[in-house]
Amino acid sequence: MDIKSTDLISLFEQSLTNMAGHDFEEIGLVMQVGDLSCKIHGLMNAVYGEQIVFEGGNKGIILNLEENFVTAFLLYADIPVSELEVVKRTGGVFKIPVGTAQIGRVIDAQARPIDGMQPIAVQEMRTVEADIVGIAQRSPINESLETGIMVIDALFPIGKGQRELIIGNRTTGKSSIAIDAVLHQKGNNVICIYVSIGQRQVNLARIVRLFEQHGALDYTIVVSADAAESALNRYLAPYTGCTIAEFFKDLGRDVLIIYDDLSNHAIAYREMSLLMRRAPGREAYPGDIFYLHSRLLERAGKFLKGGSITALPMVEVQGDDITAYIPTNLISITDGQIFLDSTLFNNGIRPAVNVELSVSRVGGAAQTKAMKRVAAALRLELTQYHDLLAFSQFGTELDAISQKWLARGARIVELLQQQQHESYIFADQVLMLFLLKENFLDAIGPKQVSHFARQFVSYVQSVYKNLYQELYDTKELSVAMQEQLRDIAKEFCKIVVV
Amino acid sequence: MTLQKIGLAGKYAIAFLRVFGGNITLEMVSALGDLVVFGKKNVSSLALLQIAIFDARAKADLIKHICSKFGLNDLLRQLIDLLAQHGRLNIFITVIEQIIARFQEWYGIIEIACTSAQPLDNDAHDVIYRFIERMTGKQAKITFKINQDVIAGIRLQGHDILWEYSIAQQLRALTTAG
Repeated sequence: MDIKSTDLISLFEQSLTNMAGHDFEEIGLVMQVGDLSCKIHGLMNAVYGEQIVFEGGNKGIILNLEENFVTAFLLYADIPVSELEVVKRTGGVFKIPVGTAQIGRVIDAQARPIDGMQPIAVQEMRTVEADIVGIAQRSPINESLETGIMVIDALFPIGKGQRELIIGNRTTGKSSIAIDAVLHQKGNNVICIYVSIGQRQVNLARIVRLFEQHGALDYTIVVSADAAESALNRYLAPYTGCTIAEFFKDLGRDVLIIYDDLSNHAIAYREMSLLMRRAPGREAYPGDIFYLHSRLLERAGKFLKGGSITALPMVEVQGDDITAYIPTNLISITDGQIFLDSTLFNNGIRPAVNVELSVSRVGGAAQTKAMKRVAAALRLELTQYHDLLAFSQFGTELDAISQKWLARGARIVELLQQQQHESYIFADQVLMLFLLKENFLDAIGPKQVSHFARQFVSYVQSVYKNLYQELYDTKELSVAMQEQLRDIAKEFCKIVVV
Repeated sequence: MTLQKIGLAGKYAIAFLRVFGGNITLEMVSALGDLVVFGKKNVSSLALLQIAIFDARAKADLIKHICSKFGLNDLLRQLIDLLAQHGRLNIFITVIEQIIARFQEWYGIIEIACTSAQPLDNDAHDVIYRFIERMTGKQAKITFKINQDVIAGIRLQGHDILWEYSIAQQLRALTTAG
């Protein structure tokens, strides 16, 4: 067969038009690389947050657009990027895979599994920066999310869709509260997402093991960007966690997301901003540090369509000073805060919740009627106790009434003490607080209060199953039930004390 | 060359083209291109442009002398004086690069480097010219290069655009997939 050169040329021309089926791609050239960020000349039509691909295989996200160049942060630290390397636009902003198969897995900030198990099946790809649901699609917070921690459930109740900040010094038990809240969700049909930002790997490994031991991985996803990760990954991790939470929320599920902690997140963003030469403001944080967290936490809530996202962000303070920049920002964004006091912690009180400085702004509406009935005056009593306690330390002789208050306060504090990973369901908490409200604990020595109350719960559970079940089901404490409980308590006191 | 210098040079280039753009011919652009090539080949000879303590007049005279060799003295004299006055003769070659790039952009000319593993004959060149002009709507100025790394196929790379259909590109896509 004869092939003419003109045939070959026309074939080549046709192939050029057809074979790739794409237009010219917009490219840029790497001009500077350093600290996992690079400045790229070109990419004049790139948009903020767009993902770019380096010819050498690395990927990045554009986070600064300037007149002649763009600044991108690299997604992979292990793939080298060279000067004058070609960079292509992808035309899309950064997306992560989401899917129900992520439950029980430990993933990184890019939603890639890091637990050494099989790849995760992807259901869809979602952008990490999503539109915030408007007020018309939001529902009031009226359903309680139990943490299993009595001092929180009784005094600072958290509703589904609420954002409750956990704030405190280093090692005051912030993570423990969040972990216990996750462990308590077993059987509650709540998906938990634990986002670890800038933590030590050994800590995270311990937490994952703990979840595994308590069977919490059956409903939990762990997103990790440890201290060794790049600033970009530490910056992305909470948004990744939130994107996964939104996926489950859209499926109609209730989600509890823990951000541990947003101080490290702010530090990662500060690092990136300084590398991008953005003007540093207070404490060298950039001007949009408030928006960094507000746009993250505003994605939580209870929604008319779908389920809810309850957020428990954490923030670390120095020297119990909650007036620092990031803590005050977060306090103003969230619907309340649980302040963990280092003095209480050092005095052996667990959880070391400072009752005066803690608040839950919306959770009250979500608290069950039974809990409201038994815990209504608790906060006031505790505050008075702490005031009196401070006063008594001056060596002043106190009158009988004050002494009685002090004794009662000590019992309240003892009752609210809880060991790590020991959680109480709602009905148990109501029974214990009922004893306190009805003064049955006044005759018990402070150190025996907790033990006595727990025994009472066991007694009701085993002997008065119907009453216990009714309390559990109705979540109410009717007058008749209160009467019956009073009789049971008297009966129990006779058995135990006498 | 830092990005700041490129940005600054771009501003001088735009200002220059606004005033003298109408006087520039394609031959002049070609001569400007030769000047840039000369400047890049003789970086060490032009190093004194980077030294701040040297007299700006001496630097300007040197540049004017070089420009006269390329027949560009009349065109560039005022630009050189302005750069000397601003103490920015060190970015002269970058400014010329930016003038060429912007002139080409304004007049719909696109510079493309066509890389292939094997030499292409003239007929193939014509096809590629036609292809680029159809795809970009601009007049193509192509430099043909041979690079075995392409393996097979061609790569067409301009200042800020790329079109590639090669085995190397497909291998890269395979290694970075997933």
